[in-house]
Amino acid sequence: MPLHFTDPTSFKIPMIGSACIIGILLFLLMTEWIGDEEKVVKRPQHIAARIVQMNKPKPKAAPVKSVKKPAAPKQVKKADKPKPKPKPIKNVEKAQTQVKAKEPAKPLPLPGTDFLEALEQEEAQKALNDVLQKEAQAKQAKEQQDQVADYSSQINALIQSVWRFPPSAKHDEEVVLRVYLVPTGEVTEVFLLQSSGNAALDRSAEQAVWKVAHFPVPQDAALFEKEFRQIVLKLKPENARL
Amino acid sequence: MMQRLFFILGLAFSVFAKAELTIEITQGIASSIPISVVPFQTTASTSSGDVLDDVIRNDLQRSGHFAVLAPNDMLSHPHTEDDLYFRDWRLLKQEYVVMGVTTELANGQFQVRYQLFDVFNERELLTQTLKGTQQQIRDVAHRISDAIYEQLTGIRGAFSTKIAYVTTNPERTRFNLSIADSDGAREKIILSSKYSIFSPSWAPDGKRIAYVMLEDAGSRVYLQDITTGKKELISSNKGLNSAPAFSPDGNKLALTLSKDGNPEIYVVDLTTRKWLRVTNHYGIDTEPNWMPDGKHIIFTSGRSGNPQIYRKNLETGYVERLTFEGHYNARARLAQDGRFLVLVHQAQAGGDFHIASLDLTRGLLQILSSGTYLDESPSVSPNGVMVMYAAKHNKRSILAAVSVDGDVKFLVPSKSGDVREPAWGPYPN
Amino acid sequence: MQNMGWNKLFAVSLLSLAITGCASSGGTTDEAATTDTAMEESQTQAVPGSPGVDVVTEEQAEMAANPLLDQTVVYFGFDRSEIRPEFKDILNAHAAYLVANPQASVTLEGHCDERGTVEYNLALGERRADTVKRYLVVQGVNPNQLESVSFGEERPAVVGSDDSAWSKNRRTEINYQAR
Repeated sequence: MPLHFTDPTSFKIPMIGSACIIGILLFLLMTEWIGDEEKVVKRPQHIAARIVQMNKPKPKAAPVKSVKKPAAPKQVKKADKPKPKPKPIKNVEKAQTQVKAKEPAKPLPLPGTDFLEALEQEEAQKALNDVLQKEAQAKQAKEQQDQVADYSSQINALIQSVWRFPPSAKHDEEVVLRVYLVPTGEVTEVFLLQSSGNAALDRSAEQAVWKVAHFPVPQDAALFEKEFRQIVLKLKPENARL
Repeated sequence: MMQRLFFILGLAFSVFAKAELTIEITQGIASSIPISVVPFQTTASTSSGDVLDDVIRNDLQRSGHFAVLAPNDMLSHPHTEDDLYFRDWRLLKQEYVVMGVTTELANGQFQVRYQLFDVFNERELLTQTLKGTQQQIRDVAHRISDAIYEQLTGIRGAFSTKIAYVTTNPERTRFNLSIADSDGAREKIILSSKYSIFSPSWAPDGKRIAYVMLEDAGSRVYLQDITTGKKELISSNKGLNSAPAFSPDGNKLALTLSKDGNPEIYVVDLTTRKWLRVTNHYGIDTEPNWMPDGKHIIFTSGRSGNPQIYRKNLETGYVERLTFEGHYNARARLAQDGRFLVLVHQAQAGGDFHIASLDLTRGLLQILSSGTYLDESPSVSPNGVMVMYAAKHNKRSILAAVSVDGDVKFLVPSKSGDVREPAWGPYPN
Repeated sequence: MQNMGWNKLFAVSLLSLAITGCASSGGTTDEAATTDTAMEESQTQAVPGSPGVDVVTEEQAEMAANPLLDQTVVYFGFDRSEIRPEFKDILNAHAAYLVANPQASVTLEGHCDERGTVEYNLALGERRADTVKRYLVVQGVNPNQLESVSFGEERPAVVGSDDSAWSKNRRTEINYQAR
């Protein structure tokens, strides 16, 4: 198949040209972004390492104080002792001075410790509550998901048991229906969202839904509203001969 | 950066996409559609004895797509909408009901008006009024069957088509080439000979038929005009002259000839009488059949040792093998708009010969026939749904039919002798 | 079909009786792959010099002398067309006869059993006729003395749908058109 370069009605050159231009544009856009990301990532890693080293005594002090009150002063004393490695002693001393300089308010004034401890306790409680709440929410969401899956498989089984597809159905034809339900599970309406191209198959799918007539739905009103008020059914006769 | 972009895009689209619960159902029950054809009200008496609704019931039942209720099992025999109580039919688990009224016309003709109802949705789907002479009762009935069939399955009905076949006496001293309705009625002999006749092939216009006659000197290919009975010798070369197959445009005939040394496939242009050689292999190449595009020929070849099905592109010359399962695969015909092959299949050496279908897209081979043995010569209806074939049943040679998309089988009633070599005719024009 | 075989046997027997007292039968319906002792017996009757036997033609004398020439059918395995070793002697005998008698001509008819498709069997039958033809030519026979034709599964020797009937139908028949 020779390319007719002199053929004015041929679309081959403009198409190839457009494809190239678009390709180049995409390439330029993509490479810049990738380059940007790399640059952004490198620097903070470099900086972050140093900061972590310098701040080591700081994180140890704070949580210990919130959990164990009597242990707090002892631990602070321990931090003064050269328990951390001998090498960074100078750094630790520097860190301690820096820590002390950065946190003038917290460890030093003795009469305010109760208040501050209480504050920290509250914050800790809040954090704990947040975590607990999230866990509870996650648990509830999972339970709901399980319920939805459970009812879905029940509906699936019911439809399968009554769906009689015509002999002309092909294994790769698919009917998509939207079914409207009321909280009792009754079917109120069935809409053909997407025909399979085989009218007899479409009809058989709709008839299957009406034959079931009453779908199993969760009792939980909120869950029903969210998931089961209207559902989409995709029916595909994969066990058809054709 | 890319993640942010996708996140934003996702947010944007989520506004449009509803988080609807979607359930996928992938299994059902393959079954025929329950339909009732209520005996029509007739004021006309039929001289032929044919009952219109009987013919319709048989047509729909034989198609394999419908489960037809026997009139005795019906709770009522309504003729008009006023007498039709959908609840009764739902009780009988019927999905469709057909009613009709036949009246006699002044000129001796009859007129029939029929209605097709959807039981579930309680509404009329189809109604027609047809006229005909007394001799045309079967034709009118087949047209009604075609209309109902197409309305409910979306597939064109093939009830008005004809079949050709060869009958022979047990002593094999007389052979008759006959044409009948696809349900076996109204048989007409178009050729009678002491020589064996086989491989009939219909021209797409339904007016001519090609066949092989096995004379003492060898096989010859003839072309006969069905109306006039005039026959023309097409090929009498040295060696084999056999397996004629009309091209989709009706202008060419593919044949098997062995004049150049061994059985190969040739194509002759019926207008110019020019010959073209299609295959060139020392193995046996025979049983050509055209694909609907007129550019590919499928054929049987023994080139790999045992008979298998191959396809050749007439323009590029590319040959590819189509069957890989089984010891013997031959005589392939197309079905389901070319998606399926129907062929004679022997699973392993020494095993039974059955009619099988091969899904060309999925590569799945399925045995279609059972209850008969030594199955051969499958021929597919023009709508690609039914396969008629020759077989032995209780030691007699009979014609049987099986549907490509279901399990319905039936035997074609034959009057006497052995019946072989069916060829399903095209849609009538 | 059995009628045809018996009719043939009867006719040939009559013909043979009409010529001589020789009871040599051309019927191949009863012939098995191995030599038939009954045939040998009938051959001894035809040996020239026996009392009570009329004039015997030269060809028939030759043929009578070689019992193999009376065997005019070669059998094949299912879907096969190659000559089996047990038939080579028979074919050699016919080859020798044809070489010695250039006026003789033979039609080789290839047949199949009913299994498989009609058309493929027609082609297979031709193969079976052709392999015999090639063999004879290799043995020195002039190809002009040989014609081959295929009858596929259309003219079985034995009607039946079991192995014994089928084995008798997978054959090439050597039919003398002129001796």
